[in-house]
Amino acid sequence: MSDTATKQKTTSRTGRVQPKRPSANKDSASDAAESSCLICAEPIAFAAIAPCNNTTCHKCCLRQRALYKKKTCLVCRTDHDDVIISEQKLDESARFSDLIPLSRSIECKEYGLHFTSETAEKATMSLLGFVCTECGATFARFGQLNDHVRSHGGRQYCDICATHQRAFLSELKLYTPKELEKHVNDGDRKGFKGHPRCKFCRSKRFYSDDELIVHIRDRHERCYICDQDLYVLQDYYRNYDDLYNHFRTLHYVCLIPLCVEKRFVVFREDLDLTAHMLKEHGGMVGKNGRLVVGATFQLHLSTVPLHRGPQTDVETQRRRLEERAKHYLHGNEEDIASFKKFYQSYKSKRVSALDVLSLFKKLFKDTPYHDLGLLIHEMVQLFPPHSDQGVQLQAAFDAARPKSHPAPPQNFPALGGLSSSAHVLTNQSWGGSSRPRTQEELFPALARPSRSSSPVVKNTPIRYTTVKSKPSQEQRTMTIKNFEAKPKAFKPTYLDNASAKANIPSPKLGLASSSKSSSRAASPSASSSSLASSASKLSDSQFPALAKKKRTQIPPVKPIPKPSATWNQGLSAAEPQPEVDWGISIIDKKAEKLRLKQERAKKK
Amino acid sequence: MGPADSPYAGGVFFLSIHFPTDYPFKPPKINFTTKIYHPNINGTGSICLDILKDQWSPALTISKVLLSICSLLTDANPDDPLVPEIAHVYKLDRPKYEATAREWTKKYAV
Repeated sequence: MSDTATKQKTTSRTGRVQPKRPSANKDSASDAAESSCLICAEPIAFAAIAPCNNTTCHKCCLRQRALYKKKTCLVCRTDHDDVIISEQKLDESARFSDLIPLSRSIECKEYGLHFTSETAEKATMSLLGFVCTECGATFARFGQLNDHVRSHGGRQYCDICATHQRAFLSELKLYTPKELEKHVNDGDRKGFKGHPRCKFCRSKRFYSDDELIVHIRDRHERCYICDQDLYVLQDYYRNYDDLYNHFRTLHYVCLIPLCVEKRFVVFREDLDLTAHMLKEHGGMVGKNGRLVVGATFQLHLSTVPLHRGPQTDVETQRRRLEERAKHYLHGNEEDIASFKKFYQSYKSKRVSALDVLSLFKKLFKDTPYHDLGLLIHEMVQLFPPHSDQGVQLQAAFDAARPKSHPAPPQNFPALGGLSSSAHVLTNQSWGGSSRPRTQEELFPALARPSRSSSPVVKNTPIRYTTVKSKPSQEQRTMTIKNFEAKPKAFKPTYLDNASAKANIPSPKLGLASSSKSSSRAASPSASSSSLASSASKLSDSQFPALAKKKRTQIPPVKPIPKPSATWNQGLSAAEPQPEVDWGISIIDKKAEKLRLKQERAKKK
Repeated sequence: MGPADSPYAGGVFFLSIHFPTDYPFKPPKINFTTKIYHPNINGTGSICLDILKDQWSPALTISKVLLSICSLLTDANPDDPLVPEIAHVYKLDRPKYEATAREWTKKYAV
């Protein structure tokens, strides 16, 4: 009886959110006559009120205080020394202090209970007594009662339930021997699989898995490595010897006698054991031939236990799709039903992909486009790979994309808008689906932004040009300074290089600048700077010219020793030039790469 | 569904809820069955949440508990971690934590 009672409680509480409303309305309609207990959801016969003014029924209150031996309020968790149990109907406005004068005469000191009337006391305290339901005889202990009850026709209480279940006697169920056996072995109600038994101590039965786990913890051994994989109870072993055999077969044990003695020196992975060997027994490594690392290590790199793997089974996917749809439809049952209907009709090929897509668009009109994409993706995943339906649906969705979202490139960041890594991952997961056709359809979409993003790459070199134009100006002024000291030693290399690499615009610019700087002295510095600025404005195509020139300057740095004899005259002037060269050359390599990229892009 | 303002957004996370026979006097046993990268949820899906342990109150309902779990997803409690490694990352390198959490969400919950 108690079992069914708790069962009812459970169900009524789980499904509480929705059914609560009508009942609350009913309460207010029927003059609050049937106010129900917040805890057990049953009508309150006698109300228990705590100093925090929270009200429960007397049963729940007594259960907490007498059976669980806790003095905390069931609602707000504060400890109270005494509670008043009243036969009056207490509503939310009831105050503990108002009832104090009424409740001082009758009390139960053991549990800190005060009663406003004898009926309330009787009803409450009788719950704790051991009274035979057949003849009304009372007993001091449960054992005596159970022996007595058996004499009435063979029925008896379940000892395990009586001792462990925090239930009043009236809530316990009487079983015939056959029923009791079934109850203990297999369970007699939904969700109860009988009282578990330890597989080693066969005679012992436990109220629930919790008690069994405590027993195992105290008497037997569990493998802590296996326990990390699943939250449910894993296998357990009679003693350490059995556990050690398990370690030996399934995990990596350190076989050094010292560690065998120490116990529990065992590792999940080969690599961990190797690390342990190196750390603890550095000298002994290799004796076991266990130093081979990497063969199994790769498999364990994943953080997921191998045997579980990512949840890709169809059932999970189906449930996931359902839950997602529910969430997007805000739990609207009508819409969910129509979603299921659409899905089923598409699955049974009654509706075409385009039709079902338009239906979905209507249904999920409030859903962001990105979320709808996820929904469609999950739906596609549900069809067998390469099936027409899945491919068609994905294709229809992809085809419909530009219409709803006129700017598809913008749509892509939206997909990965959460972060760049997320973006990469969506690609992975979508690409991972074994659907080459959809992949092909997806890829042009991806490629387009990359092509259009090449201007973005172009933008960076433009920054470089501005940066570079400045050093080039400096260089120019410097050459002007140097010019007076040693003009001819430097000039030929420039010209040679420029003429040797007669590339499109670069020699012109190089020649022009150098000839100008050579022909005119300090005064053209202003004009050359203006020229440089104009050059930078001109176009990107002229920028690579500069890059070429500087790249060619790198070799001159090496042969410098040759003209160094002539440069000795102006050592002070010679110093800054290599510095400038260095600075520019570094930028140049990058610029060169970028330029090559651009050229390639242009060729394409 | 992962909360929108968390790295778990867009993911569908499944939980198993086991009601002990003593419910509601004992807390329900709630576990994640979908893998999740979170400082207070370990590899087996166990959740480190006070109201599921000693702070349980029989007045709590499943919807309230699930709401608490949702808020745990948005605001992890790295000072009382179940997985110290993740808590460490959470405290020192928040962007990395968020990236990994997002990655796991994409991998296991989408």
